[in-house]
Amino acid sequence: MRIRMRPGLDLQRLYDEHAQALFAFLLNFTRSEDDTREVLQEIFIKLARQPALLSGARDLRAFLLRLAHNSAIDLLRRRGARRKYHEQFGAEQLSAFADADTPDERAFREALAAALGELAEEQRAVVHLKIWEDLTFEQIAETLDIPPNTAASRYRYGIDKLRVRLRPLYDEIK
Amino acid sequence: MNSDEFEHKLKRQPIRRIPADWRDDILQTAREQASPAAERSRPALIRAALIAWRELIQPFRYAWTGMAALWMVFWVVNARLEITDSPTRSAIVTSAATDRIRLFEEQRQVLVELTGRIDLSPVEPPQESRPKPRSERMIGIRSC
Repeated sequence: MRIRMRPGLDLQRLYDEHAQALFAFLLNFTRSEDDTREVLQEIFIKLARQPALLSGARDLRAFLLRLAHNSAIDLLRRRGARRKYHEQFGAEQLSAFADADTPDERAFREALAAALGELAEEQRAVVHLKIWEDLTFEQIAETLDIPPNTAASRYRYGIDKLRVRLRPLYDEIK
Repeated sequence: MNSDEFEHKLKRQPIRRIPADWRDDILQTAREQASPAAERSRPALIRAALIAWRELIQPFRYAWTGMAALWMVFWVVNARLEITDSPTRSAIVTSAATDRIRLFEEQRQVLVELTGRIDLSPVEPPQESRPKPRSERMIGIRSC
């Protein structure tokens, strides 16, 4: 089934090309599969209703990530109270990473997921975009609507925290 | 631990794949929500409210929030002004005025007793002058 919403917007193709990246970013950012799905759905409804949104986008992936980031922030604000409850009681310890083949790798990924969860949301977003989306600080700045220096400093703080947190495990399995 | 090595190690950690069953659901829902039929099936009032929300409120939500906050401030200030201007305050003012009149009367009595004057009748209040019709006023002027 091919879904063509309007001339110029192939929603299905858009999904196939970008949904995985949006999923990864949202999963890392929201730490919740339900929230990730909700935001992803919201984005595609928005795009289906307003295809003109994409007409001004120079970098489609960056534009979609920005849309995802803004929608996720809106959602997290709406769910502020519930999220605090989850954080407080650790009800959801979600890993955004694929299953590993070896126990060492599995332990590292679990520790990495936990360490990412301890970062502030905005640091996590920058670290994700730099490491797993391979964006430059300028692109990250544009995506998250922050100055490039802020993006760089958030990345530095974030990666330093991860390094400190994962150092023993990393040295062990290296 | 080398910084580049560590970052490369992180880059090599693959993120989970998006669940395959999401695709059709998400695309189907997006298509349904965006179709004109779905829009038309809603009652006109809800449709108008949704359009107003989408076009007018949502894009300028911070401005609207600011305006609402401003109105709240006005409302609170207004409510406080009403409280200070309440009947309780009026009653206090009236009672103070009555006390002052009574005191004045007592002083007047003492003054009369001291000066020996017997006339204790209260001063007649000035007669209220009512506006007369223009013709009557003209007669009064002529008679002078």
